[in-house]
Amino acid sequence: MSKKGLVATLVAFVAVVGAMWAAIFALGWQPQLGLDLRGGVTITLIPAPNQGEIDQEKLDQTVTVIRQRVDALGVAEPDIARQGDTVQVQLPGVVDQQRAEEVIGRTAVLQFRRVLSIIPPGDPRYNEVGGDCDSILDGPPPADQEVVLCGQEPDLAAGTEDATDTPLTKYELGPVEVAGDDVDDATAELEQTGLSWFVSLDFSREGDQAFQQLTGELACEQVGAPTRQLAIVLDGRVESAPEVNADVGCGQGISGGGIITVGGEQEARDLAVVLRTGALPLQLEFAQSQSVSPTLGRESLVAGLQAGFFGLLLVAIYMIVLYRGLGALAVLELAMFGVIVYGLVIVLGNTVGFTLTLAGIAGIIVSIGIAADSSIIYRERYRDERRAGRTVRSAAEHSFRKAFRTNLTGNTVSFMAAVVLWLLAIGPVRGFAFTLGLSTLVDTLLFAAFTRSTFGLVARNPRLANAPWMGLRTVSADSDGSPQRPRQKVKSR
Amino acid sequence: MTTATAEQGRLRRFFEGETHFDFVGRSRQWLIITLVVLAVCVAAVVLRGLNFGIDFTGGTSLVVESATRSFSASEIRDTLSGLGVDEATVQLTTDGSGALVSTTALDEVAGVQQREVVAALADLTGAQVEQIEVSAIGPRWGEQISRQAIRALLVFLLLVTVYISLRFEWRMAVAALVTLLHDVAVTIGIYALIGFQVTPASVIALLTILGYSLYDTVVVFDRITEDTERLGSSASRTYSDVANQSLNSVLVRSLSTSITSLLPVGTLLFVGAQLLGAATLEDLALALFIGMAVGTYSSLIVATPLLCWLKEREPRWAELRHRLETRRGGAV
Repeated sequence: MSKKGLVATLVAFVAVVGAMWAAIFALGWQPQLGLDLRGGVTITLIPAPNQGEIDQEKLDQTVTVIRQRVDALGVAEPDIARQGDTVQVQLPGVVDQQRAEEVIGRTAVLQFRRVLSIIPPGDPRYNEVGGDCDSILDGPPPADQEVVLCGQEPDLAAGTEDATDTPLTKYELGPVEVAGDDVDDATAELEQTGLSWFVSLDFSREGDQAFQQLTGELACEQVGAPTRQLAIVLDGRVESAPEVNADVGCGQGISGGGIITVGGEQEARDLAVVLRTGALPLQLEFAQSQSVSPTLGRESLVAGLQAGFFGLLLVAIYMIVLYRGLGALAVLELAMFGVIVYGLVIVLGNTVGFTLTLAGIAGIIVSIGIAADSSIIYRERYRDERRAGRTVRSAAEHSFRKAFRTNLTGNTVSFMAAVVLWLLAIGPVRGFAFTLGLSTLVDTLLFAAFTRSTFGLVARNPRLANAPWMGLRTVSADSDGSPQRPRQKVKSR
Repeated sequence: MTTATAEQGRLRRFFEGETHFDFVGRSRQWLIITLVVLAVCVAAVVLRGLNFGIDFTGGTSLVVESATRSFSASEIRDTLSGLGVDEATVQLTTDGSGALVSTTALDEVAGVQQREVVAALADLTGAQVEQIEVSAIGPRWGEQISRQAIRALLVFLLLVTVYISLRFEWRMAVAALVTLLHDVAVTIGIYALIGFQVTPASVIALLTILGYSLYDTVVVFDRITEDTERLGSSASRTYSDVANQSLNSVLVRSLSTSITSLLPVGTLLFVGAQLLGAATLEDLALALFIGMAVGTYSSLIVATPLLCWLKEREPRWAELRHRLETRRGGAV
């Protein structure tokens, strides 16, 4: 390339980078930080086993349901996304992690069943039927069978007393008569006395009929008998089992909806949300749930930046020691690399929503090595060409072509690894893969435009090229490979 | 004085890329060393096994920072067992203001609420409740991550084989893949040998190492391809001779690149170790550090000798070698 060409390339390249940063400053853009750097709760859910093939459509529906539930939690800027077969929920800021888990993870399978009999603790049958009340059920109890289920712990939401010490009542129940699908709407309401909360349910037309028929039949039972009770089963637990009121006529039943009495306001509201948004199409399990405080996030960010800065500094020192002036030129390339990658992280954060995580910072730090390698390959190639007897100028030009080919081949492999990782891996590593791939692209671009121009222009400038500290003349075929010679000249002056 | 000058001269020659190490000729030695190293690694994995972190076994970890009261590890354990959590490992920071607590999964311990545990820890250490990080991991998370990782690995290997076969040739693809498997085996072996904890981050780092290992190998192969292109049937050197010379030419580059790659990763490792919450950083950095180091040496002593062995079986290069050997009276 001619000198003019090199100057034009360099100017154009610097202008583009300058324009990018000018835009960043003008728009006041900041990098978008991930939750591990600014604090928040990240919850990852995976489909529970034994559900057969995981249907993509069902996963999408699950994400929609979870999104509705999270919105009802009132957290600012929640992010719910699918990653492979997993669902990741990100809640920035200070969030009650456990409450979020409860609301998001509830399967919310609601069933209305007849009570056949009540088995209180101490009953001879108590230990034989219904299993351990502490264990979590694997799935909703079968709808068409008679089952024995445990009652709910009194006032679970308050969480003040260790309630598990008192054994829970078990209920022997008939098959499902009205299901959660029949619920059209659910709202949390305060009881007239103002003391407790309940969730009122609106049924669909069929649901309403079924509910009326069920309550009408129950009303024929004797007042006070367990068989007059209606069990409301949520996620395999008997939430409550109210008796049908004495004033309901036999065969007449209750029409126009039902209610579930619950304890506190929050519990009522959470339950209403879960019932309204319906059951999750897939049963999910918690894969991972992590909370990071804003202070810790900040510390991690500072640590990451420190690691990056010192890493860059150490590499810069090494390059200068090894290549002297040419090494200083390489430091310029590294600095440029850092400026471009950081700029792109900010731009992508504000345009396509890329968030920088701790793993992403690690990716950038790792790619410092990739950037340095391009500089090293070029310099080693240059030395080869000089040894082969070329002039400084022609060696710079020839070695660029060969070094660029190597750079392209190597970076293709790295880039492929990053893309495959980004597409197929799950968890924090996608951030790592993203910055790694981005850095690889920047590296090749930088090499083709910036490195080539600066190296070429220095080689064409007689004063710089001949300066002993530059190191351009150190190796040559005629000097019998004695790079000390120019240096000794300096000393002897 | 004279020895010092000789030393300097050798070092200078090294950095000027004028070394003449015989990598390929000594491939039998390297093969033995490599096989021994591999055997040690396999034995380590079989006998010692890998130390899987809670990401694979499931569990809850709590990080306490900015504690205002002094406390001991046994106090934390007592507090936890008072709540019914019996199996807990506790690590304290050196300045005593932080702790890392790992327990079995809290939601599997009957009746224990995460809130209670956090509140109890805050009470004991004087840290604020918001200052306590909780991460809970289900038993299937690690499995899920690994499964995805293996799928990514297979896709990547396929792509790379195709790419190297097209860009260079199939023999180089074979040599590169064998080298890659060697790198992964040795990295896993080192993990088993030293007992480093395996986390999803290290599994993923392993995938990145593959990229790196290949990158190194590809740079070396690129040079060999370039140098052997000019090698005709009347050449005075065998394929292996030329390949060996190519290796020496890229030696400084290989070492310099490894150093410049390892320096930032080493910084990351150092900083990560200072920071309790940044386990991901540390795990990534550690696996990368080991993998890169292994990748560098294997691109020199595994990939190229193997490639030469494959190439010398090609009729063209075998003939060349035969002709040269008879001319030199079999003294090669």
